[in-house]
Amino acid sequence: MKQLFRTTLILCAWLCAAISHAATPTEQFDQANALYAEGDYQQAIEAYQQLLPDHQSASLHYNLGNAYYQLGDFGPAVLHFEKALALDPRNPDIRANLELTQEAAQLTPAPPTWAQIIGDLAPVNAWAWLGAITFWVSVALVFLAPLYQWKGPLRGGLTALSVLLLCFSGIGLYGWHTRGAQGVVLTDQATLNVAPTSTSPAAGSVKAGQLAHIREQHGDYYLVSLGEDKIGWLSNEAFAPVWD
Amino acid sequence: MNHQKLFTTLFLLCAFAASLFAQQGDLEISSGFEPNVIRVNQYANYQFSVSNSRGSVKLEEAQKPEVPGLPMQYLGPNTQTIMNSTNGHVRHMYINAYAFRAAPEKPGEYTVPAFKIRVNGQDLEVPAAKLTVLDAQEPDANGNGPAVVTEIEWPREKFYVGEAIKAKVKLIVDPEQVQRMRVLRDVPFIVKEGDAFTISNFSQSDSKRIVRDNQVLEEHSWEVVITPLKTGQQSITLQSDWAVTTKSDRNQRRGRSLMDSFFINPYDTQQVTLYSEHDTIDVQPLPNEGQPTYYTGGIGMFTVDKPRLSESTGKAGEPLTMILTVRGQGNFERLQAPTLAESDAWRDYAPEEEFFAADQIGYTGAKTFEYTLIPRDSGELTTPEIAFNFFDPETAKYVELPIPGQAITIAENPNAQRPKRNPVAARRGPELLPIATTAGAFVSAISPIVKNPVFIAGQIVPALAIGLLFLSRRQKLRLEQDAEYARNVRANQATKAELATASNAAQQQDATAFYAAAQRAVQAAAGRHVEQAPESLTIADLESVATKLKADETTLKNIRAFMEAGDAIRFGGLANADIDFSAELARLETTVNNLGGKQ
Repeated sequence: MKQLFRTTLILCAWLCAAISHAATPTEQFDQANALYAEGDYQQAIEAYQQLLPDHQSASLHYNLGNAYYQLGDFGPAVLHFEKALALDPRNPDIRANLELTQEAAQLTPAPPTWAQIIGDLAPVNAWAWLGAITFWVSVALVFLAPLYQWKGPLRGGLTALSVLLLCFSGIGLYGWHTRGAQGVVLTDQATLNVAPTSTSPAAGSVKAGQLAHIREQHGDYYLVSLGEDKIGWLSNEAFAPVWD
Repeated sequence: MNHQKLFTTLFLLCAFAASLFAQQGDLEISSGFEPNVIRVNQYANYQFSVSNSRGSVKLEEAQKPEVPGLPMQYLGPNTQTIMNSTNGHVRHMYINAYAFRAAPEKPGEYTVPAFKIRVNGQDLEVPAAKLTVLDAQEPDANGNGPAVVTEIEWPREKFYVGEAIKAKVKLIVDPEQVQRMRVLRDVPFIVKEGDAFTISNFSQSDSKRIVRDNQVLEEHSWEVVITPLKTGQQSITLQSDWAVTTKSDRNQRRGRSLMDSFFINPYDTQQVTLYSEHDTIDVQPLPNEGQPTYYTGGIGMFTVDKPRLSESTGKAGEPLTMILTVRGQGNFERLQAPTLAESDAWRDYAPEEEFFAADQIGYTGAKTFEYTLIPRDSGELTTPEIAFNFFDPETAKYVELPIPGQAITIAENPNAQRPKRNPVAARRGPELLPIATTAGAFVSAISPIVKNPVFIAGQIVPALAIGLLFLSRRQKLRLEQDAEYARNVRANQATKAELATASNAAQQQDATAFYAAAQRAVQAAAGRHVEQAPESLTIADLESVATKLKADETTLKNIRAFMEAGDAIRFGGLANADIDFSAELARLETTVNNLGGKQ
């Protein structure tokens, strides 16, 4: 009995110690940052990657983009900067480093559309919440206010404001929708294939870091278009979507 | 008599046998390849046919001929009727032919062995047929070489990934054998095999006579740019489809008459698919050694013109354009804009590119890069240096051609805003902004919340809340504004409640409670038709309502009975009287319904 009690006590103590020593995501992030600071970029990337996909943040993807940039892997660097921007679109550091990487990779990204410029003013979920709230407020103001005989300029102003915000959030969401269908070419060795097979003839070449519009997915291949006339299949080893 | 019968039977049997023989006896079977001598990568048609003068034949059973190394594709049946006239006697011959396309992979002798078929219920044997397949260069029985050969002429043996290789695709034709050739596709050649290459458009063909092995041949050639996209040993085979008209040897096979030679076409036209030889080339990666920091990606031989400025002088803050023209031969498609050297005096923007091809295949030409420069200061400035470079595949070395800046006078311009410095640029060294030190809020996926089912389902909450508020408010307003509607609603509620009370009282055999509830139920039911409060309605009022509703005598009697019974029980001491409650409850419900009841 005494031995059983002792064994249980030791087990409990070991479990407590194990739990207390398990690194939290923040601690893992800090460890990866330390590796980056030492110039061990490959190890830093592996440490950052251990946090994925359950613990993603704008900072994590931003740091991953930096680490890939330092290794000259511009494709994955652009991918992670784009992911970071999806989470924190107004972060100037992310945008600056993305532009730097695109210049280094000799890429000329297409100028953003008006919807994308508006969408970039806030994260996509902020637009989603704003859209949902303003939609229901607009519905309530249109249908309930007359029943409660609420009249006057305040009601009109609030209705106009909520409809305006609803339209604005619709444009923002559309901007993000167009970004959400994009992916990044990861490697310079990638070739656009005519069909989604490894033995398919090549339809053209692509550059690491190029943004492409995803049209379709078939197995391990994405049908992507770059510009107006370049279209073909890329394997998931050579291409990754920005959004999960 | 018996002999006569036997003779008749024998005669009928003989006649039947003769008719059978006559029906099946002239079936003829033949088989063969056309042509029976071909070269590798050419097709031959194998055909067996059944002919019959008695009408069309029906092939009941046949097996596809199988010959190892000779893939055969069934093309389908063909029916033909031939009419012969000899000494005024007309004879028809019905021919059913079954054709296959044979595509041999290797040279050799191939024989389709004899095989059985079943026609019109009769087993027949298709004779064996032989096909001779010659190697591409092997002379045939008449000592002739190949009639047509396809070749790719490469400029070197070793190439680099991304290089634009100017190759020549040749079609060498023996004019002794080939009368005419016509291409069957929009383009002369397509890539049959070679997923590691892209090819440009073909140039116009060039034709000339050449002598090869003491034989005069015709050479038709096309120029094309082939770009390898993968490193390593890469193979490529081109395919082209032609209608080739050759001198026919059928006339020689038959002993032809003067009439035959006049009417029979002395040429055969056949669809021929030609393949170039299976070329394997060595594609190497670009060397890292000596690669410039800002390599343009150009592979070939290029020169650059002196950059042209849009203005000889300028003003601070006002844009100028500088056009750099790169000329030569090589992979213009992959040639990127040369990098400008760092200069704090200028703000520059990514150049616009344009390519001007000097040939049909885009191998030779000029590419212009139009930079936009904005001087940030005034004074005697020098435009930024341009670091142009390319890789020369002949010497396997990088060539750097730095282009010095040009002096230009920039006048002061107090009205113009001073442009910002150039953004952080990779070409000016690693100026990456530092990493984030705080992890920030973690999420499990980068995906918009609008795709989350919980978010979508959550929209039901505000929808329901707004819907309920809307309905309840509208109901309240109607009750306030529509008296008849309000009376109806109240009458419905009161009638329902009083009927329920009466029903409970009936179950408990409580006469006092039952008749009190019955009185109120009758008043409530009738109350919807008058503005008066229902509880104040007297028997006379109720009868008046019933009369207006054109109720029958029984209803009037029941109204009076319920109203009086209530009073009689309450005030007359009849609480313990023997009452059939279920009958009374049914009578009450009928009365209430006749007064308008529950609507």
